[in-house]
Amino acid sequence: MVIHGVRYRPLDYQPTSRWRRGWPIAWNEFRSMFKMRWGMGIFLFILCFVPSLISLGWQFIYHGAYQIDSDVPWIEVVVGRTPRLNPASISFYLDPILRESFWVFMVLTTLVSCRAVAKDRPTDALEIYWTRGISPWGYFLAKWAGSFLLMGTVFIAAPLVVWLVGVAMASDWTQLEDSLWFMPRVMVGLIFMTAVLTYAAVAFSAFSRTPNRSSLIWAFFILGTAAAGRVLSRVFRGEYSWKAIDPWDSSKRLVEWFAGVSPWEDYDPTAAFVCLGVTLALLTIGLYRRLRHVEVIA
Amino acid sequence: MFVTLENLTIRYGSITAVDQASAEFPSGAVGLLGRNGAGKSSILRALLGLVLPHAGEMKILDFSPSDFEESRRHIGYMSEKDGYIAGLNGFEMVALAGEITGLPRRDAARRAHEVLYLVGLEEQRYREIAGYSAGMRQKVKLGTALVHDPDILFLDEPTNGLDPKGRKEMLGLIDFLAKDLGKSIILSSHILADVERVCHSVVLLEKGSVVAAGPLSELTRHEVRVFVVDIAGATTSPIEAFERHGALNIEPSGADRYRVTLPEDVGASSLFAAAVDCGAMVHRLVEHKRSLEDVFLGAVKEGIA
Repeated sequence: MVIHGVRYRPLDYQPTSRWRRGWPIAWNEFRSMFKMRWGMGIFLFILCFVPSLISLGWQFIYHGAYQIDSDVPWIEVVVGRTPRLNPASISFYLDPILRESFWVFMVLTTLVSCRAVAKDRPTDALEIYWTRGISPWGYFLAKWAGSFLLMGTVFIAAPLVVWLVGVAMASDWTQLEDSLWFMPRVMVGLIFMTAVLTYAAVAFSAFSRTPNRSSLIWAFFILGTAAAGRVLSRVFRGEYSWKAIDPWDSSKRLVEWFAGVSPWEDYDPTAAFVCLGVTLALLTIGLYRRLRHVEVIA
Repeated sequence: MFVTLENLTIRYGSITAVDQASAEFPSGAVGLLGRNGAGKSSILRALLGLVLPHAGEMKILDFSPSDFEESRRHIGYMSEKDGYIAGLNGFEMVALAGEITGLPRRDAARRAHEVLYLVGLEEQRYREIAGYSAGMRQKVKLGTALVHDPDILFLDEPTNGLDPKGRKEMLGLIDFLAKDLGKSIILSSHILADVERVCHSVVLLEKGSVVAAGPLSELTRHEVRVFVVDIAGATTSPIEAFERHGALNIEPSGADRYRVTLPEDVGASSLFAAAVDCGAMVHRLVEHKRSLEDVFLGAVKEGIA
């Protein structure tokens, strides 16, 4: 008895939309992190959540899920001394990302985003993608969406979960009332930052012939601009706007600006906008050259 | 005609890869023949919309290649390059190719199983492609070309890197696709025997120009008949005897061996009569059939001239 026939049959189907055609590429890109040898990708991905897991743990302690016998209301004392540990403050959600997650950003972009297109060149996979129902730009956007999804789980979803858990655990609505005014702005800022940085990393990958070279150039670019920004801001005696040449720093400042956090250094967001805008514009101009069908032949 | 080219010119900078090529590809398997660099792959790439032609027109069924979304639904392309998507197994790659072409997820998965079964990779479909042999990679490439059930297949050097057994299997598959499943195929190759084995028509390219085109049976048909005759014991001149019996051309090709060209309406019996005339005996008589190689070499020679 034939349970499942696998013979070749004529096919009648209604073609899916452009967006749905790009989705498998995005999903494949997202999964690439978990397909590394010896479970290395899974291990690193879990490690990326450490700052958010610490915040989540603090939420549990703060809301009394974990009791410490003491006569002194120690939580109030700690929060009083370190306001960023207050779950009703912006810093509680932003700091684990903006101050403690540079290495997370480097790990995820170096291992996935900036290899996205470059890894398809040595295996001639571009020809497989581009001779089907998807354009080179559709392919690029799908790759970007996959990277965005991966980084978004750490940079967007994790702080959101930490906030929702805190709100749910609180004994009254005070935490929700205190944080509702800034949380949507924090989310918009983080979405913007994740989108911009993954776009830059995936664009970098379109310029390299091999994924390793792409990772190396990207790491040099990020670390180099960060170092140059620090040096220049010291040379110009506290002119912190020089740091804006570092895409991580400038997008970080813009998130703070979105969220309404007052800058802790004399820093003009216009410089961040200009630097980030110029970087993205240059990358996009470069992409117009690299995302042509004729690239398949080269 | 499933593909039509009209004065197609393709240039890469200052290099002209295809020069005013005009050809029609009738349904069934058609060979696109030419030496390396003759412009075969350039024509396929132009048909896929990867290269913009400098001049001329192309048509695939009723579509223009510039309408890439619609035309590619009807085209399955198997590249000459050894392309694969890193990190995927055979099944995942074929299913992904189906989804990108526009198949719904479930259909793409079902279809991937079907085509991998068809190309003979049912046992190896869950192995990572990076570990496939050359033959298996060619098969998985054919699977990705077939996954969306296209009407037209562009196969660029499909037997590249295959051992004799793999080559036989691949040609058998192509033959099956053309004859049993009714696919229209352009088989681009420089291996004449492959084209002769599966195609009913050919388009011959030399230096970017079409030098011959048409059904194989017509191209290989002789207007004259050529025989190689071995005789022994001639008492008079055999050449004169052959001429008396209607030979158009006689070329001695070794001791007592002659290559004799006869008009189409003159039979081989005239050669025996000529042998009797000169007092000789015929030891061996072989009719020389015109092969695709003769057509190709002749066309190339004419092209160069």
